[in-house]
Amino acid sequence: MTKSRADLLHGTLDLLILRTLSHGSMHGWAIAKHIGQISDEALRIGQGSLYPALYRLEDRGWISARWGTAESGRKAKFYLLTRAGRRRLEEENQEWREFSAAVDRVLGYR
Amino acid sequence: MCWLTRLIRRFRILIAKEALEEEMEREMRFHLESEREENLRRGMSEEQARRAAAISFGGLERFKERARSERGGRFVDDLGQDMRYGMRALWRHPRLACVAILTVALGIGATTAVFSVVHGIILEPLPYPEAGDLVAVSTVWQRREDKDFMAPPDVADIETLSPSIESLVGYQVLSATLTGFGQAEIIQVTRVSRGLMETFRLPLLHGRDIRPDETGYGGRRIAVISARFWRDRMGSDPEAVGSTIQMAGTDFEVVGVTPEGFAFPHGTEVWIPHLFSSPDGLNRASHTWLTVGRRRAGSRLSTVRDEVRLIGETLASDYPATNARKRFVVESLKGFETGAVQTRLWILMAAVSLLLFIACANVANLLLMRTFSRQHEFATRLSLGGDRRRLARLIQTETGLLTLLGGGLGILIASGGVDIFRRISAGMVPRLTEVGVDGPVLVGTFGIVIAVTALASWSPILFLNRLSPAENLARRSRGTGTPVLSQRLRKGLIALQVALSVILLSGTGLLVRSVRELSTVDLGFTPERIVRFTLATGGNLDEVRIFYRTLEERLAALPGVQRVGSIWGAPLETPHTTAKISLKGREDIQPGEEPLAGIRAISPGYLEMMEIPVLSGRGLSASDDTGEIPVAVVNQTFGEQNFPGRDPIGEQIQILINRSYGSPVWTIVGTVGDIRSEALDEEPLAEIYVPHGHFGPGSMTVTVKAALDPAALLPAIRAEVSAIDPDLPLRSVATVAEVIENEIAPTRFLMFVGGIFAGIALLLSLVGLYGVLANLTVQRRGEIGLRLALGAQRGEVLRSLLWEGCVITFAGLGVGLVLSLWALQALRTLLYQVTPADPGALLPVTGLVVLASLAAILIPAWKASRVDPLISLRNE
Repeated sequence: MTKSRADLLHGTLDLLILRTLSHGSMHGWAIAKHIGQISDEALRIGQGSLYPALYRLEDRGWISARWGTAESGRKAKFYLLTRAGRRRLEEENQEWREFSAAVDRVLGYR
Repeated sequence: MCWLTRLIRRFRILIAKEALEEEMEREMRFHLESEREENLRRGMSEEQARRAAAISFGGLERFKERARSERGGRFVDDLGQDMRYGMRALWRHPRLACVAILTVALGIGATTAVFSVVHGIILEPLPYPEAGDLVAVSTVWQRREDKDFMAPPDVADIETLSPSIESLVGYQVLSATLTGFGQAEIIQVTRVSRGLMETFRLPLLHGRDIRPDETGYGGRRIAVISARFWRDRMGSDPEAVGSTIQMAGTDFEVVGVTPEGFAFPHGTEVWIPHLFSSPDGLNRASHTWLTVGRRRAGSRLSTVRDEVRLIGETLASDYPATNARKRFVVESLKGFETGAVQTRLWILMAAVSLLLFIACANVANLLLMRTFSRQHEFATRLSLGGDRRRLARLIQTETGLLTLLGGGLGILIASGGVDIFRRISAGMVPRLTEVGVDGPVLVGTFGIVIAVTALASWSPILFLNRLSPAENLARRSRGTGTPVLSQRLRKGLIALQVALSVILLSGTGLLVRSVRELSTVDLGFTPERIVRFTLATGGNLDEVRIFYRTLEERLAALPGVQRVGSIWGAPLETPHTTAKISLKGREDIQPGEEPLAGIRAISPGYLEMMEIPVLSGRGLSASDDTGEIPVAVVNQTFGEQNFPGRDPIGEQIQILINRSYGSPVWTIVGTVGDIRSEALDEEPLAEIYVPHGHFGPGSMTVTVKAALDPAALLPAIRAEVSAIDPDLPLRSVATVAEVIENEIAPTRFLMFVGGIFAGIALLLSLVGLYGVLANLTVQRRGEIGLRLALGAQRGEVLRSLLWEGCVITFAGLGVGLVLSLWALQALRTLLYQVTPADPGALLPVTGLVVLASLAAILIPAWKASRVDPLISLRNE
C-alpha cells in the first residue's frame, strides 16, 4: 500500500469529498465550506484543488452532477454520490484507516 | 462505471466543448460570488470582500486549465492545437517542409508499391474457398532439385494411398484451334483426369462437371467451358449445355459452365477429359501431368509430405523400372504458383526497406536541425512551466503531419508505380491481377506512416529531453553551443545512410554485371533476324509432313526470306519434352536407369539455318525426312554423357515415349554443337534431333530467317499460311531476339528498380551529408572566424572540415561494403557468372560513393574557408 505524495493528497481529498457528499448533495462551494467547518478551519480546500478533484471524481463515475437552485436563488451545479461512489467511499475509508494505523505504529516504535 | 460509459462521456465532452466551457465558467463564478457574500457576512467591506474572494480563488485560468485536464478529452484538444501550430510552422518554412515531405513521399511511395506487389502475389490467399488446403504434387529426380511433371499412374496411386489427400487431379495445358465462332482462334484448353470443381469446392454456373468415368480409355468427348467463354462467345446462351463446340476439328459436347472468374490454370477457357486411345495409355514413364489437389481439412502439410514420401518409396520398390529414381514433393498451390518469383520479391522488399530507413534518417536529421534551432523557444517554454511530455507530443504531432502529407503523396506515387509494374510484367509474373493498392495495403501504409513518425521524431525528442532550460537560456550565443550528442547523432546517422546506400549500390552493380553476362552468353546458334511462330495442325504422319514441307517451300520463295525451318521443341521455351533413351546393345544399363535426353523434331535445313555446327558425321537432310531408315543426330553433351571418349555415329537408340506411331529405332549419323535450350543461364542438356517427317508432331514452331527486318515479313507470312489453310491462326509470334530478351527481362527489371532505389538512396545520403556539414559550418562560424583571426591558414580550415566529412564517408563505406558481402548472398540465385564479392561491381561502387561524397563535402568546406573573420566575429 505504498503511495506517492501526489496519490496521497489526491486520495485524501477524494475521501473527504466523498464523505461530505454522503450526507447529501451539495454544490462545490458548500463542499469546501463544510470541510472547512467540520475540521475547524484546519483543512482549507483551495479552489485550485477542489474543482479538479470534483471533475476527476465525476469522470470516474463516483459522483454525478446536476444543475439546480441554491439557497440564494441562483443556479448552481450540485454533486451527489453514486452507488459506485458509495462503494469507493468504503474502500477509501478502509485504506485510510490501515494507512494511519501503520503510520501510528511506525511512530510508536520510535 | 464501465469503460463504455466513460467513452461516451468523453465523446460528449468533445462535441459539446463550448457548452461545457460555459458551464465551468458559471460554476467558478458561482463559487466566487458565494465566497464574496460570505466575506460580506463576516463583516468585510464590499471592496475587501471582493478582493479577498478573488485572492483566495487565485488564478482563474490556471484552475480552469487544471480542471480541464482532469476532465479528460484534453488529448484531442491538444492534438488539434498542435496540428494547427504544425501547419503554420510548415507554411513558414516551405523549403524544409518540401524537402521533408518529398523525402517521406519517396520512401513511403516506394515501400507501398513493393508491398502491394508482395501482398498481392505472395501474401494474399488464392481466391478459392479454403485455398490454404490446396496442394500441388511434383516429381523430383534423384540427384536433381528441379520439379518435373507427374506420371498419370503415380498421381492415381498417391490419391488412393494417401489418407490426408482428399483429391488429386492431373492436368495438362494445351492449345487448340477453336472453330465455329467467327474467326478461327487458338485457345487454351486444359485436359483433366477428372473435373476440377470438386477439388476447388466451387459450384458450377450451369450443368455438371467431368466425371472420372468419362476420362481415360473409352472416355467421352465432352467439355466444360468457362463463364467468360459462355458470355463472350456464346452470348450467355441458355441452351449452351448440350450444344457442341469444335476444337482441332473434333466435336465436343458442352456439359457444364464454370463459375465467374474461374480459369485454372490461368487462361484456360475449356476443360476436357484426358482421353487415351489405347488401354495402356497410362505410362509410368511418361511425365506429362501437372497436379492440383486438396488435403483434408485439419491435416498438416508435414503429414501429407511424409505420407507422399512413403508412397514414393513404396512405388519405387513396386515398380523399380520406372520409379526407382523418383521421389515426390508436395507444396501448397500458392507456393507452387508463386515460388519462382518469391525470391525476387523478397529481395525487392528488403531493398525498399533500406531506402525507407534512409529516408527516415534524413527526415530525422532535418527535424533535429530544426529542433536545434528552436532550442531557445523550447527552453523558454519549459522554464515557464511547460510540460516536457507535452512538448514531445508537439514534436510528434508536427512529425506526424509531415509523414501524413508525405504518405498521401507517396500513395499516389505508389499507384503510378504499381500501374507501370503491372503493364511491363504481364506474362512474367503470376497473379498479377491481384496486385494493387487496395485495403490491406493501405492499412500497411498507415502502419508505415506511424513507424516513420516514431523513428523520425526519436532523435529530436532525445535532444529535447537533454535540454536544460536554465543552462540554455544563460547562453546567448550559438557559437559553441552545439551539444556533442546531437553532433555525434547526426554524423552517425549519415554514416549509416552511406552504408545502406552502398548495399543498394553494390546489389545493383552485381545485377548490372549479371545482365551483361546474360546478354553476351554464347547461345550455340545464331539468333539474328529470325522471326518464329507456332502452328497447330492435325492429321497423320504424312499429312503433317506434307503440310509443313509445303509451307516451308512457299515461305522460302517469298522475297526477303533467306531460309526457313521448323522445329518441335523450340529453344528457350519451356517446357520441352524430355524422354528416356534406350541405348541398343548396352546391357549394362538397368531398366529404369536409362539416360534422359531432350527431343527435338526438325525440318531439313533447320540446323544450317540456325548455324548450329556439325561436329562429326553429318546433319539431317531432306531425304532423311522421308527415307526408310530413321536417323537422328545428337548434340555434344549427349555424346559425352552416353558414349564417352568415342564417336556415337552408328549407334542405335530408341526413344521411350508414348506416340501413336510406335517407337522406331534411330541410327545416329552425326553430332552437332550444344545450344542453350532451357534457359540462358543453364548448361546445355543432352539432346537428340530427329527428322520431323518420322516423328510427326502437328504443332511446330516455324522459324524464318530474313535478309533484313524479320518483323516486316509477317504480313506476307500470314498471307501464305492463310492461302494453305484459312482457318489456321499463328500463335506466339515473336522474333528470336525478343524471346531472348524476355529471358533476361526479369533480371533486367530487378536491375532497373534496384538502380532507382540505389540512386535515390545515394542522393538522400549525399543531401544529408551536405546538410550536416553545411550546418556545422554555420554553427562554427564564430569559432572559425576566431581561428582565422588568430592566424590559422584557410587551407587548414578547409582540411579539417574535409577530414570530418571523409571520416563519416569512409566509415559508412567500410561498414557498407562489409554488410554487402554478407547481405548480398541472398542475390546468389539471381546472378549469372557473378559472385557477391565481384570486384567488377564493388570497385565502381566504391569509386562512385567516394567521388560523390567528396563533392558533397567540398562545397561546405570551401565555404567554411571563405569565412570572413571580421564579419563572423562581429555577429557574435
